[in-house]
Amino acid sequence: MGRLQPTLKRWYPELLRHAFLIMLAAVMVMPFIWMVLTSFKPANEIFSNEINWLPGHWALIENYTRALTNTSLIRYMGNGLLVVVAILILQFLVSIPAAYALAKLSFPGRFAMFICVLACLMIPAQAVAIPWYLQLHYVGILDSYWALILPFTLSVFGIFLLRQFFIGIPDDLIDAARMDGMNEFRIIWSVVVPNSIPALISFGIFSVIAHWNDYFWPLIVLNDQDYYTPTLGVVDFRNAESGSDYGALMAAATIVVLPLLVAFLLAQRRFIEGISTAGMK
Amino acid sequence: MNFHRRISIARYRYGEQLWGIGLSAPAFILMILLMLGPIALTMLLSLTDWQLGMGNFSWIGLKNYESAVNDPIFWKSLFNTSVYVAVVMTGSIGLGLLLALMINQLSFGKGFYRTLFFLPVMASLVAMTIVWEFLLHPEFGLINQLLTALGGTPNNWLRDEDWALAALCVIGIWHQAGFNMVLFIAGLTAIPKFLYEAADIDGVPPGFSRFRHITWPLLGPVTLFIVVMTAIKAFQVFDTVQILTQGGPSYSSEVLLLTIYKEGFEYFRTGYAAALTVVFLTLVILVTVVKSLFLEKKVKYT
Amino acid sequence: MKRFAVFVLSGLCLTNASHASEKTDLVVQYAYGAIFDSAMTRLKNEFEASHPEIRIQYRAPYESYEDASQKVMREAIINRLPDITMQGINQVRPLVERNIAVDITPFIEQEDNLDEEGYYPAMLDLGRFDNGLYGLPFAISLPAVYYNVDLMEKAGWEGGELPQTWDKVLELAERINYLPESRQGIYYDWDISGNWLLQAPILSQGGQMASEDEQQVSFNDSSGEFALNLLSRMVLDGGMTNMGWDAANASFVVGNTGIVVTTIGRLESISNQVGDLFTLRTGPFPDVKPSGGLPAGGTTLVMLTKDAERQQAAWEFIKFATGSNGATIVVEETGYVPPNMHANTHDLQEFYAMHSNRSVMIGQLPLMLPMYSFPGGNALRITDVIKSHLESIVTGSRVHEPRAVLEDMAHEVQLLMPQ
Repeated sequence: MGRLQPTLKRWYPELLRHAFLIMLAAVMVMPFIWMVLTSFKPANEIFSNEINWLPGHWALIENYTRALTNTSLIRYMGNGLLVVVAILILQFLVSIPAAYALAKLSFPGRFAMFICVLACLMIPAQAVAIPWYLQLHYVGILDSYWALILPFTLSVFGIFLLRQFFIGIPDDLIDAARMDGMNEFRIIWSVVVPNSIPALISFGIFSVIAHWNDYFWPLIVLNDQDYYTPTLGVVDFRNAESGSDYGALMAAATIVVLPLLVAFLLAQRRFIEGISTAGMK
Repeated sequence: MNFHRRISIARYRYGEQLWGIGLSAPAFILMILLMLGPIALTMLLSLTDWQLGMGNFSWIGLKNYESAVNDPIFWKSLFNTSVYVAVVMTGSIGLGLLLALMINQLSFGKGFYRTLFFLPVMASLVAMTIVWEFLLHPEFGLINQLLTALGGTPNNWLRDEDWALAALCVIGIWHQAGFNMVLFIAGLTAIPKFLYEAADIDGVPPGFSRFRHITWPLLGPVTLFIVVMTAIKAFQVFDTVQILTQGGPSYSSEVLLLTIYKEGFEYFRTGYAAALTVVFLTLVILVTVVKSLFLEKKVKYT
Repeated sequence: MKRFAVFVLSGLCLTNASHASEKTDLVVQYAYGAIFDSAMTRLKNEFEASHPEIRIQYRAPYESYEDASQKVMREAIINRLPDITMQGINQVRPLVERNIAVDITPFIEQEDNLDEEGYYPAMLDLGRFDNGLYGLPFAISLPAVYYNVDLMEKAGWEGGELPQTWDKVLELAERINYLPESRQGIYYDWDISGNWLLQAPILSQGGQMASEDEQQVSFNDSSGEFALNLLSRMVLDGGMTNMGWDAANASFVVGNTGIVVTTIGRLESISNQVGDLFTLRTGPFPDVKPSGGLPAGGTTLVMLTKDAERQQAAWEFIKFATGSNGATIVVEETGYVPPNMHANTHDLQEFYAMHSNRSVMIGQLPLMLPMYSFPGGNALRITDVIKSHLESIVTGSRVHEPRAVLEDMAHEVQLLMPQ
C-alpha cells in the first residue's frame, strides 16, 4: 500500500496536464468539428435557437451536392492543384541550383548574392503586389494561370533553406563525383538531391501549403471565375449565399480543407520535422 | 607546385566560377525582376499621383506621404495593426510555449496533442475564416449560443466596434499558436537532459526557477526565430480582415495591408497605395531588424 | 496521363476568342442577383426568341453597384470587359472618364421612333456627358418604407393611411420595438450602395451633397443634421441594430422586424419571401419638402464593346431591355419601375392598379432628382468614408452626437474633393 501513494503522486500532475490539454485541444479543434457537423445538418437545425450538437436528420448528401453543384468547386480544386504543382516544380528548378552554388561553389558576387537573398526574405509578397500586377499587365497575362504561377517561381525562402542544408552535405561526396568526371549540373541532380530529400520535402510542404491557401494575390489578379483557386471559390460561394445556406457553405469549406488535412495526417512526422529543422537552422 | 598543376587548378577555379554564376543566374535575375526591381518601382510610383487605368500622371514628390500623415484612416490602420501584432504575438507565443512545456513533459500522447494543436496552422485559413464567421454569427453562431446557455449576453462580435479587432486577434492566435508550439517542442527536445540532472544535484528546485535558469536561456535561438516569424506573419494579416469585417465597423479593424489593397485595387489610387506600401515595408524590416538585434544580444548574454 | 496533359495545356492557353459562327454572342453582366436574376433570365429568353441571331451570355452578377464599378475598371485594364454592363444609375461617370463607356448617340439617331422624351429626364441626364449619351436607364427605384401591418396593429396602429411623417413612423417603430414578439422596431438600409439612403433624407429637405461647382461639400447644413438625427432616432427609439441588410431582410420576412426602409426595387423579392406570413404594405418616403425631392436609384445599361458588329447587337439588346418589352419584365419580376414615362402612365396602369404596393411609387415619381456621385478619382473612397461615419451612429458608439458626426464627415469628405 505504501507503493500506491508515491505512484498516485507521480501521476497526479500528469493527469492534470492531460485534462488541461484536452480542454484546450477541444477549443482549438472546435471550429473543425463544428464545420463538419454543420455540413451534415439541414437548415432548420442550423437556424434554430438551441444548440444542436449532432444532426437529428442527416442532410449530408444534400449539402455536399449543393456545395459541388452551386459552384464549380471541383474545378477550383483542380486549379489549385495545377497552380501549386507548377509553382513547386518551377521553384525547384530555380532554387536548387542557386542554393547549391551558394553553398558549395565559390564565384565572384557570391556574398553579394547571399545578402540579396537575406534582404529579399524580409520582403512580403504583398509589398510587391502592385508592381507585379503592372508587370503582368504589360506582358498581357493578367487573369490567367501564368499570373498565378510566375511571380512565385522565385522562392528566397527555399534558396535559404536549401543552402543551409546543402552546406551540411560532406564535400568529399561532391569531390568524389567531380573526380568521376561529373559536371556540376549532374552533381546537383545525382548527388546533392538524393541526399537532401528531407529538406526538399520540408520545402515542398511549405510551398504547397502557402500557395494552396493563397488569397491576396489571386484576389487581385483574377477576374474570370474559371481560374479561381479554392480560396477564392469558397469566398465567392459565401458571398453568393449571403448568409442563407450554411449547410452547403460548411460542406464547401470542408471540401477545401480536406486535402491538406488528410495529407497532413498521413505524413505528420515529415511535416513537423520539416518545420522543426527549418526553425532550428 | 609545377606550372601545369597551377594551370589546371586555375582552370578548375575558373570553371567553378562559371558554374557558380551560371547556376545562380536564374535565381539572381528573378530576384531583380520580382523582388528588388519591384521595390524600386513601388518607391517610384509612390512619388506620383497615378491611378490605375488612367492615361497620364504627374510627379508629386512626397505629397502622397504627406496625405498619409494627414489621413486619420492611415493612423487608425497603423494603430490597429500594431495592436493586432502585439496581441497575436503575445498570445500565440505564450500559448505555444505553454503547450510545448506541457506536452514535452507527458509520458504518452505527445504526438496526438501535437497533431491536434497543429491542425489550425495547416488548414486553409480562408476556409476556416468562413467557419469562424459562422461561429460568430449573432443569432445562430455556436459562440453566442453557448454564451446564452451559460447565462451571458450574446453579441454581434464582428459588427461591434469594440470587439471586431479582438475577434480577429483570437482567430490570429488560434491560427499561429500551433506553429510556435511545434518549434518550441523542437527547441525543448534539443536541450540535453544532463543539464536538468545537474540542476537536481545542485539543488535547483523544479518548476519556475528551473525554467528560468536552464530552459528559457537555451530556448533563445528558437525563440528568436519564432518571435521574428510571428511578427512578420502578424504584420501581414489580411485574409481574415478582408473576409470578415472589411476593416469595419468604422475602421475599427482596419489594418495596413487592407488599406493598401483598398487604395490600390478598389479605389485605384495606385500612387498613394505605393506610398503606403513603402511605409509598410519599412515597418516590417525595421521590426525584424530591431527584434533580431535585441534578442540576439539577450541570447548572447545568457 | 494524356488527358491530363491536354487539360493542363488547354488550361494554360489564353484563348479568349469567340467562335466563328452565325450567331453573335453578347456577354452581359448585371448586379444584385437576388433582385434581378428572374428578370434577366426572362429578358434573355424573350430577346433571343425575337432575335435568333444573337445569343446572350450572363456572367456571375455583381454583388453591388460598387462592385460593378470596380470590376469594370479592372476588366478594362486586362481587356476582359463584358459587352454590356449594368451599373448603378450614378456610376456612369467614372466609366466615361476612363474612356470605357461607348457613346450611344449614333445608335439613337439611327432609330426613327425612339423617343428620348419617353425617358425621364432625371434618369437620362445621369448618362449624359460632354454632349454624348453613355447609358440608358433600365430600372428605376425610389426609397420606400415597408410595413409589417400585423405588428403595427399589435402596436396600436388603427389602420387607414400609412404614416406620412417620420415622427409618426418612429413613434410606431418605438411601440413595435416594445412588443415581445418583435426583435427590433425598424431597420434602415443605411449602407446601401452609394450612400443612397443618406442622400434621400438630405435631398428631401432641399439640401444637396455638394455645391454647384463640385468643389465644396454642402451637406453639412440643416438637411444633413436632419438626416443624421433621423438615423440616430432610429437607433435610440426604434431599436435599430447594426445587423446588416442580409440579416435585416431575414428578420423582417419572418416577422421579427416591424418596418424596413430600403429600395422599392426589393419589393418582389421581399413579397415572395414574406408570402402569407403577414400583411405587407409599402408607403412613401416621408417628409419630402416641396423644395426637395428624392434621389432616384436604379440601374443603367452601358455599352462597352468597341467592336462594330457587336455594338449593333448590343444596341438591339439595350433597346429591347429599356423599351416596352423590358418595361413589362422589369415591373413584373422586380420592384423597380421601368424608365419609360409612357409605359408607366399608360400601358402599366392596370398592373399598378392591381399591385398597390408598387403603385405607391408612381405618385412619387415627380419628386425624382438625380442621384449624386462625387467627382474625381476619390469617389469610391468618399462613399466608404461616409459609410463609416453612418456606421458609427448605427453601432451606437456615436449615436448621441449626430451633429459632431456630421462635422467630421463633412471635413473628411472635403479633404477628398478634387482641388
